[in-house]
Amino acid sequence: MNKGTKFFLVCVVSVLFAAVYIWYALSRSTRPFQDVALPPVSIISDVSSERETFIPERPGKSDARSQSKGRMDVLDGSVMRHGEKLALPQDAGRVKQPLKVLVRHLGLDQSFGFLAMDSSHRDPGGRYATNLTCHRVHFAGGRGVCLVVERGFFTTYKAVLFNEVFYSTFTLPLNGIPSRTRVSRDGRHAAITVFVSGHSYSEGRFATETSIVDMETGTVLVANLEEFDVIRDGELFSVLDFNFWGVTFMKDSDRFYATLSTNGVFFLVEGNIASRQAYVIRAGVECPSLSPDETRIAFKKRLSTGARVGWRLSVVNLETFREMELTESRSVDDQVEWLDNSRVLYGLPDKVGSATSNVWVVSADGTGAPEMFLEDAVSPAVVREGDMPLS
Amino acid sequence: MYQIEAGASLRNAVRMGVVPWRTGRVSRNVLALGLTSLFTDVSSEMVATVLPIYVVLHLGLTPLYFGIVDGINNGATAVLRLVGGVIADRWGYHKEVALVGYSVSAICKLGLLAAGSAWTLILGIVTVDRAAKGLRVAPRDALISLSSPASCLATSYGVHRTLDATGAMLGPLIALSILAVIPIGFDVIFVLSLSVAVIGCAILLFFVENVKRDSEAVAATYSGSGIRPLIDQPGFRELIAVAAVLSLVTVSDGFIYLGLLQGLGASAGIFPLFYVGTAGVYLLLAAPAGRLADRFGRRTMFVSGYFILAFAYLAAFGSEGDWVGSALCLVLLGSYYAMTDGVLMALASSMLPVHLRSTGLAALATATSLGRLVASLSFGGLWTAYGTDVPFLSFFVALLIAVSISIVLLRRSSADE
Repeated sequence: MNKGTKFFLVCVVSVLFAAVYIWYALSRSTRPFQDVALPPVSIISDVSSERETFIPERPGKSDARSQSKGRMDVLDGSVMRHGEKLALPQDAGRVKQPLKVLVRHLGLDQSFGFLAMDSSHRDPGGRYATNLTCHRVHFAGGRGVCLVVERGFFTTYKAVLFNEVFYSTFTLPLNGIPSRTRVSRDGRHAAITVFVSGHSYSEGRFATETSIVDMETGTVLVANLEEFDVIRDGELFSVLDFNFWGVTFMKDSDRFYATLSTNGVFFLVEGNIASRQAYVIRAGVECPSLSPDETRIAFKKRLSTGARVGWRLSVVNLETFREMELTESRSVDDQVEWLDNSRVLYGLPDKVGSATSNVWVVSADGTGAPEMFLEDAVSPAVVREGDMPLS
Repeated sequence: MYQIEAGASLRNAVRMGVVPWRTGRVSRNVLALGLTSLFTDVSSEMVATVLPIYVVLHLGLTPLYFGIVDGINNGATAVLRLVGGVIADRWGYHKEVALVGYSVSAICKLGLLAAGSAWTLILGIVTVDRAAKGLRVAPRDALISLSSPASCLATSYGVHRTLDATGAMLGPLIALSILAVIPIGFDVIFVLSLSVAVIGCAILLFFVENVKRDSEAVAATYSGSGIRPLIDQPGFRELIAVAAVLSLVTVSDGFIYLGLLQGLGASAGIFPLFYVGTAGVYLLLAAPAGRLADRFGRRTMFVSGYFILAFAYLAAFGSEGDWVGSALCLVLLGSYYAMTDGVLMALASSMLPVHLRSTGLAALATATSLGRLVASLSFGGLWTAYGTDVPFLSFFVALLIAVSISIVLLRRSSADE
């Protein structure tokens, strides 16, 4: 056998090996990509004209139960149901309309990655896709922010501001990978945090950039929170390696809480858009989320276990500053969303390295066990009462 | 474009010391080494592109920690590079040492696949992979020079670097396309990378041959190998000084890209565009620059390359958000690489006797990378303290001074010969 033949054989073997593995990788998936799509959000309301309520016929229950939990099913050719039904909210009586949550849909189907409106735990089978594809989403006061990753030859990022019928109103370019977004309760302001990948080049560590946007005019009010004067113990506090992220607005939408990180410490700060100042409140609070009644902040508490970062979901009372760990023992890397005044929602990957995630719910008082809230979804944004004409 | 020469005619060309200017032939060994580099670069760049995403986003490691490990690895690489060089020189096992380096890297891909989410194991594998890279570079570069007639050394390196850069451009593209189709297809990338690496190793195994050294050189091997005799080589001492001085004012591309990015006020998403632009110019110009260097003088070409780099700094400083200025900066940067990288190796090869070839090239690469590390640290310090303008302007001036010093030193070394 001459060298050419040997070489040819080696090539054939290695190419075959790769081909077989790829075939195996594609086929071993327990949840293959399904050629189905979520029904469009327009079928539950004629959003473009009358904005009147229209609830679709509920599909037959017998069909709905025929498939196992976790599968995406097509019912009557149009409506998709999500496996298990969850317990009703404890304070359900106070919520007049069926609870709706906007999420990034992560079911392995044609609607993967789309912004979807989910009400499946109250209105069975209810997840409806919009035309927007979002990596992170938030919505309040009739306005929403959708952070978009446009994969192409060169990946670009943008923020799409949308109205209550999911029509895009403004588009803003973003400087990096979308991380967090929040809209103020009245829909006037929004905050957007991105990872600025370029900056990590010099330092070997990542940097964030948090901007604040006027939702009415689509203009950037604050390009980067690092422009703010930071005050700590009554004195101006200024360090080069400031990084802000995880804004959560107060009711007046001018003031907010956020994380300020510098030199490995994570501070909770209170910011004011009008005065362009931020006050350091407390250390050890990352990714704050203010409860609807504004008495508590849910956050992720950093656990340092060597090289690996973990976060424990915790809640701090803003009057007593008493911290309490929630019962979720898995590490959560998310800015939580309050479902109501007693429970919080957060996303967790299906398993390590998985493309899909689920939204979980846990009580905010440190009791009870976490439960899965929505399957195949991430970045939950609870649609509060009166925010949206669709119902 | 480049014809593969049979061994006999290569020996003739070497004997005569003449290689025709227009046909520009490159030996079969060099071409095979180039293809080996192309395949292994596709393989390693595929993994390098996705590894930070995999480790940081999916395994929850802090970017800082990953950066530290990366830094330690770079230090270890410098040491192993010298070890690889000395071994290859002492026993003439250039091909074998290079093959070990390439094979270990291929096995590492298999290791990544098996490691799953055990991150300590992954970091260990990354370290071994870097070490293997350090091991193989010097023997490979020595083999390129040993397989080429003295008159077309720079051309050979130019052709090799063209193939090498092509692989480095294809790798990330392949990896990103796989991730676009299969969102969590990290294992698919590792497997494909392994398969490509095996083909690269097979090319090296079957089509690259060690160059037999005449008995004189072998005798010399036992009389004086290692690092010490390097200093006595005429001209080499000056060359290593020149390379060190110039690398002290050569900053990492990342800073130049970052400067352009800030000027343009563009999104970080176009970062890869800068990389691709520079690499594209490099791979287009590497072979022609090598040919010109062989023809009109390698020293001139090498120093001119750094002169051009100085103007790349100036363009980065002056472009101020101008797209044309930024594009010019990338063209200058790519040209600088084409005019210096392979040419320096050719220049050194022409000064080093056969039995010191690998060791010498390894020492040169180590001096250069240490110099660049110092440059990047001081540039970063200036950037943090004074903003963008001061570091670019001061490095422009410093580089012009370094180029002047180099001209003096190199003139002295050429007078020695």
